[in-house]
Amino acid sequence: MNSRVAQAVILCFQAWIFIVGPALAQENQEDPSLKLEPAPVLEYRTVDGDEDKFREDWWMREGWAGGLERFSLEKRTRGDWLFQMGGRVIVPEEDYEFNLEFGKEDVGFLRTRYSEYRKYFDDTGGFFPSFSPTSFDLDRDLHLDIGDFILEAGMTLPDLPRVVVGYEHRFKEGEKSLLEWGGVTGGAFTRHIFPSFKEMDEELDIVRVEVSHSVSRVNMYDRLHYEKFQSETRRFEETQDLGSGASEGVEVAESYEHDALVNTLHLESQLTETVYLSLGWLLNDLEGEGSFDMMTVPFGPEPFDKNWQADSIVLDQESHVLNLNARAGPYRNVSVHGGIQADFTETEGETRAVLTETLPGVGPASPEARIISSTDQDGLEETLGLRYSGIPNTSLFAEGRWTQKGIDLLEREKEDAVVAFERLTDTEVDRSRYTLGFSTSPVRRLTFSGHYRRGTRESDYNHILDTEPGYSAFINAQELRTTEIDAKATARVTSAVKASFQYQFVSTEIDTFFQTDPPAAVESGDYTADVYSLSVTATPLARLYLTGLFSYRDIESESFDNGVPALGAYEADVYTFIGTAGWAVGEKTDLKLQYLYNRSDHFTGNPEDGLVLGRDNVRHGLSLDCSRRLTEKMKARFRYGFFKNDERGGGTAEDYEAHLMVIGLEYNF
Amino acid sequence: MKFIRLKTNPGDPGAYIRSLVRSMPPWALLLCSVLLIAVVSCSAPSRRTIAPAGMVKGAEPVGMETCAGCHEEEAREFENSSHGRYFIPGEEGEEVMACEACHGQGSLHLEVGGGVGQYIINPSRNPEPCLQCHAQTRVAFNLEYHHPVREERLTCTNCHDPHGDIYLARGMRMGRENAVCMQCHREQTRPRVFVHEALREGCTVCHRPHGSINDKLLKENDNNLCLKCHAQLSTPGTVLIGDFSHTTRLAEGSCWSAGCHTAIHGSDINPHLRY
Repeated sequence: MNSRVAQAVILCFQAWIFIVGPALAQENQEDPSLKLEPAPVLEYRTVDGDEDKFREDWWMREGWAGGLERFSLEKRTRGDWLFQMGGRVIVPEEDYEFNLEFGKEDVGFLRTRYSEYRKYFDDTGGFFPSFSPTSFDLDRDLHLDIGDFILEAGMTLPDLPRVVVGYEHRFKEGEKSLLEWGGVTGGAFTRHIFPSFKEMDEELDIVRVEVSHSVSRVNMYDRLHYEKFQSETRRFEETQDLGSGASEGVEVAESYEHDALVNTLHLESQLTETVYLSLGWLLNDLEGEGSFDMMTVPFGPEPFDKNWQADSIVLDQESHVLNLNARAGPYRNVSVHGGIQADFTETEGETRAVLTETLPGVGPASPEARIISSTDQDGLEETLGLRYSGIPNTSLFAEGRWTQKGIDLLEREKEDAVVAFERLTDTEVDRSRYTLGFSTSPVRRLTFSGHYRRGTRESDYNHILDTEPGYSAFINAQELRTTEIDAKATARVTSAVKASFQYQFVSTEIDTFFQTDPPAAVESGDYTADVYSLSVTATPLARLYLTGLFSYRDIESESFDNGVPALGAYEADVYTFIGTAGWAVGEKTDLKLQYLYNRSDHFTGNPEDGLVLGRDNVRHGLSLDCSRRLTEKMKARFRYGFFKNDERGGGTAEDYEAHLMVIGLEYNF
Repeated sequence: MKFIRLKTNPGDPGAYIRSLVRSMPPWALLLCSVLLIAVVSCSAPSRRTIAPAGMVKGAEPVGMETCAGCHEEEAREFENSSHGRYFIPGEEGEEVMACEACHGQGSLHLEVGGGVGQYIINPSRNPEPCLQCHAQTRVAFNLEYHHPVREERLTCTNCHDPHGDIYLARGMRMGRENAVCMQCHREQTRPRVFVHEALREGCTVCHRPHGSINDKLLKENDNNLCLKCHAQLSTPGTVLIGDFSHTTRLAEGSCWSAGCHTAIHGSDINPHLRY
């Protein structure tokens, strides 16, 4: 929201608090149907260290902020019509929410909502200890303003179809950080650590009509949705030579828009007391177009400098999804459910571009390219499940899910009417997933639950034609196996203490088969995670509660490194503690203490052979809230917060210590 | 063990207290302050009660059958849900995974004749009841990078349907691939001339949707993320991908952070997803 609009909004709300509020409060003394609850707030945050990282971590910026943390107004009129209004306004955080609803049960409603919030991004790139400086930042206040506006009206008359007509406008605007870092050369090393960012302006407009009705035992729901999506993005990447001070920038501008029509029809019926049936159909028809413009500055004689321009990008996509599901309980304590879903998606894409590029030993060339792709994808998924609850205090369940997918892919690029590459690949994918689970409470106050899941995915690629050697036809097949175990025990130790322990194990192995003679395969991926958590909730006194959650994650992921020292396993140990205490100190005073501790240790220091990735950082977040009722209708609130980020591995550029102070009032007229 | 030598001065008893306070670490000071308030608080008579988030203060459980008396449709949907599988019938509120596990105890809601927000918790506005059981998800939302549930910008029901099947796009409900993520991330999930095949398997192949210790919610922030699938056999000491040696390039950065395969979701101009 621009500053003029923001100022206007603030003025409106100030007027509302100081003029309308007291007036309505006066009225409220005579009118019990009116509820009015504004909560003004003033905040101050101070940061010592990386302010951008603080903003990204805690979704707030340093300095003063204030407004209405919450406000609501409720009025029931004659004839039982209900008028509700509420929201939030915090500036300069660009944090707004405004809701308005007017309606009557069994007649209809009119609703509107505007909301906006800001997401911040740190502008620091990577880290390399052999460079000076060891890391770079853009010195930009990177943030996105994300919001939506919704207006909908509905008719809810009894015995008639429920009809809702709505309009939505969603937006994202601003700048965000990217992980595509620019190269920095210093001495014998080139490492990509220079930060980059993207400007973006996205708008989505949706018009929808929803109709639902019940006839006899059949419930029908249809949603017709038309959307127009528009996106303008601009990416900036820069490379630096620390020795010569030379730099080169690459700017990629993309625009895209599409119109899409989506219709979802859903029918369901509880045919008998034990048989449930549902049927659905989804249609999605999308037509999109866009442009692409890449500029290298300065565009020089260096090989591979590119100025690519595509004024015409056309995309069409059509999807159909059809599903049928049923659940039956033919015997007491036994329930069976099954479903089948078929889908078909056809996507066509065409780009016309001029690809100006400096070729080694040749110089700049500007071929005209026509690039096309065509993808036909069809899939079938079947589900069958069983639930048994015949054992006292126990529920057992099992489910199988099988998917078959076929993808026919054609990709072709012609440069100056000559085929530069052409690929024709038929892919077949088979997936299966089996789940066994239980939930039992063998003795009062003690519950165990868990599940075991085993999944496989087999992909076969039949490369009928690939004129470009190597990519991407080098993979012939891939097999993926996943195992997942989840076990949980919950004990209500006493009426005041509840504790639960949970263990999760996830393992994924991937084998990749190559196009060699003879065919060969390697275990290309191996991922394992063990996750433990213990949580306790205690209410030792009616006026006191304590909650604590401790979690430890041990993650290891390896890929096929073929003895290359730049590659190593990804290992992470993550420790988290979240504690809360709430306390009614007296008749008028409440205290709430919250503490977050998070240590993420996944530092890989390998500067000679590769990047220094990962980090070993400790974050603390502490807040103490104190609220006191001043009068019957007014409460005062004070909050102090302390936040700290301490990097122990890859430099200290993102370290900070921050303090937060909040004072607020809550009126309840 | 390190002992703290405290100043003592018989003429100034306050010096001992000041010295003690100064020598204490901040956490011990905070603990002492809290204990002091506790002593004062407990000596002051009060009949107030306080409840952790996710519970209705002063209410008692009424059981699922009572809820189903009015909320017939929700009860029927619940039977088709992933949550419904864990339901164990019981007596007098001792049910496991029933309505009140998420909506709070219902006795006060029943007493006032029901109604929206009347002594009942709505997890679509407050994710606390979900996070009571899904402890690991609570942890994920408190990691360095996360979807803004802790910040109250999103709630669980933006992506999950607790009464129906757990993913909006699946099972009894229906949608397209990545339909849940597509609600907000249109730019990443829109059609492209060249699409990263991983996207056809779903966004969660590379991203952890609740939270991650890696930026952009990535599962791993190094080349392991890509090389698990993009591996090729070659002579030891070299990394060949698509018959092209990436050995020196991988030392400079990861596949996407080195500024090479930057159009990682898909490209309209380059089949190698380079721009």
